[in-house]
Amino acid sequence: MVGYWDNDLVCRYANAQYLVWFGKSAEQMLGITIQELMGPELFARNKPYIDGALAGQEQEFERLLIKADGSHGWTQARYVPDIGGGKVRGFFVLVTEITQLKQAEERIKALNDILERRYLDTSQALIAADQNYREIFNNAPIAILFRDISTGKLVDANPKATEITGYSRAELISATPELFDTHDPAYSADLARTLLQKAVAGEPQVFEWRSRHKSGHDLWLEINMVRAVIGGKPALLSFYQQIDERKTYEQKLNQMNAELEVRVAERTRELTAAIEELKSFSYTVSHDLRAPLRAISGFSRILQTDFAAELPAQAQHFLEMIARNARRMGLLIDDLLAFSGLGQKSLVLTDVDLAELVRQTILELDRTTSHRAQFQVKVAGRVRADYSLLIQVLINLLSNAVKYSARSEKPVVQITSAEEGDSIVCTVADNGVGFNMQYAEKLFGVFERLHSDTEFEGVGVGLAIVKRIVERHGGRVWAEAEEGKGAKFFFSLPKGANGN
Amino acid sequence: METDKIADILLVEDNPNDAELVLYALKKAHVLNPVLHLGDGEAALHYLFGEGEYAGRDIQIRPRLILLDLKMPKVNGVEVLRRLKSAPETQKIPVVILTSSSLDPDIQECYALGANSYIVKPVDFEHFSLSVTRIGDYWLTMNRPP
Repeated sequence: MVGYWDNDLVCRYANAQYLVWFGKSAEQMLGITIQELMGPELFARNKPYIDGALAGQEQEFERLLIKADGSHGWTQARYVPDIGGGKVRGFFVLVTEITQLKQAEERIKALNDILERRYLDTSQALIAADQNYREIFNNAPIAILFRDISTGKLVDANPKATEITGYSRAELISATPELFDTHDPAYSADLARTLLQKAVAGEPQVFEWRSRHKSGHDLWLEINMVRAVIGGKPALLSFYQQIDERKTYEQKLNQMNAELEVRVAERTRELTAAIEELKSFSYTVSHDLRAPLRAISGFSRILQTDFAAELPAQAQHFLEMIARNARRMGLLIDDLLAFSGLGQKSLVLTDVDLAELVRQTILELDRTTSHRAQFQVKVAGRVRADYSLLIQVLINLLSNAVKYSARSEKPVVQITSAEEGDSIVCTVADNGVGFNMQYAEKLFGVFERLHSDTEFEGVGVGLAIVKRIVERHGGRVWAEAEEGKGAKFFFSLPKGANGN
Repeated sequence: METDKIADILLVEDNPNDAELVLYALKKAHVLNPVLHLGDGEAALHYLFGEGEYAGRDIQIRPRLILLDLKMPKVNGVEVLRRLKSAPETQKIPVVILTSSSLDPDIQECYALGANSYIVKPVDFEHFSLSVTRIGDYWLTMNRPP
């Protein structure tokens, strides 16, 4: 709207908009004073501008006006003084409605406020986050140091670094690897630099390091170095953990191990010596005990066979007792020696043909004992075993079978074999006196016998030897029997390779 | 004199009881050939090769059978056998090993070295004659009393 007011503040002109705004007619407008038109409140507020205009200064301001219809509108007013002849004759009023502009301004402001708030929130969050990391950095239980890669300078070190190394943050920042040198060639400053370079190149390093505390004493650290980006720039992060305790334990452990090794070596020497002594003792005993025994056996037998005619029955009977006991003692020595010697010899494993082995055993039995037993053999395959030890097993089992079936009318000893997975199981079955299964457990014990000496000669070591030998080969022994019907002895051994 | 000793059968045995039993068995088998009994391996080797106390002996005169004990002091039976079988002069003399146990692992070694058979001590007549017959009873037949 446009209007003109004279220097008495009387309206001289008002355009149609003016009339609409203030709700006045043309007649009413002309001659109305500005005070009347504005009302006391508006006039009071505009007065400074009016006075300014009358003083000859152009005025520009924004005012929220209430229109005649009651609605609000933002206006931008300009009072332009009318200067003529050196005097202010009045002023023009130019008012533009800027409601929408204002509204837009308002909206922009509101949005700005929101943005500002968001920015503040984010900043606060960032600051808070930074605080969190700061907290972590400051309270970390391991030393954290980081180095700017481009400058090569240490940028920061956390309190723990100071605690561990004894150097202040400032001292650490200005330190060189020489400061921590312990003059241990395994942990030289040059090596430190090499490791640093590797980490900088992108290869994370983890290693133990012998360092020096400020106070001069040794400091064992586990160091982790990794390349990272800190503050947007490539940095090298180092973490130090103190491992003095661990190192002490390690050293102690090594020492104890070394001591243990020494003790073990000593003990082994002692044991080996003892075994050797035992071996030679056993051998000597056997040899020296056997000699007089041979004399007793030999001469008493001569008396029995060649001088029978001159000897009364009683004398012959006593001679028989002598001979029998000498035999028994011989067996005892043999068996004891075999049993005690079993542990030491290492197995000489070959692929043993079972059929051949059984054949040899039977031949030996036929040669050394007089028996009536009939052998029925059905064995096949090969076992992985020590030949000389296996022969003993068979001799013991077969001679047992023969012995305990000696009283049968038709003693038969069956020897069979069967494959069972990776093993071969052999069975020696006789039709002799058998035994009570209740005592089967005791069968393989040393000196255990289930029949008295008067019934069957023997010492009770034979089966213990069998058990020892078979078990040394990784096999099993077991037995089944029925009193009066006979017994079956089983043993398993690893299969041998087939072939020639 | 030592160097005059001749024998068809050389018995090398350190145990006097064992030796006596062997001699008895020989007697029972009606073996009348002279038997020389030496008490250890060293003496046996000296005799056979004309060394030591037997230096100067005519070693062409050799026993026709050697009964050899295994376990002896100074030089044991296996050693004696080894030397015997590696010398052309003595290689062909039949050797019967005397052993205290049929399971003696030395028996195998002796067979490998060329022993002819073995007898388990204490020597009894039946086994004894069986063993020596196996060698070939030429010396038994040779000795049948006229």
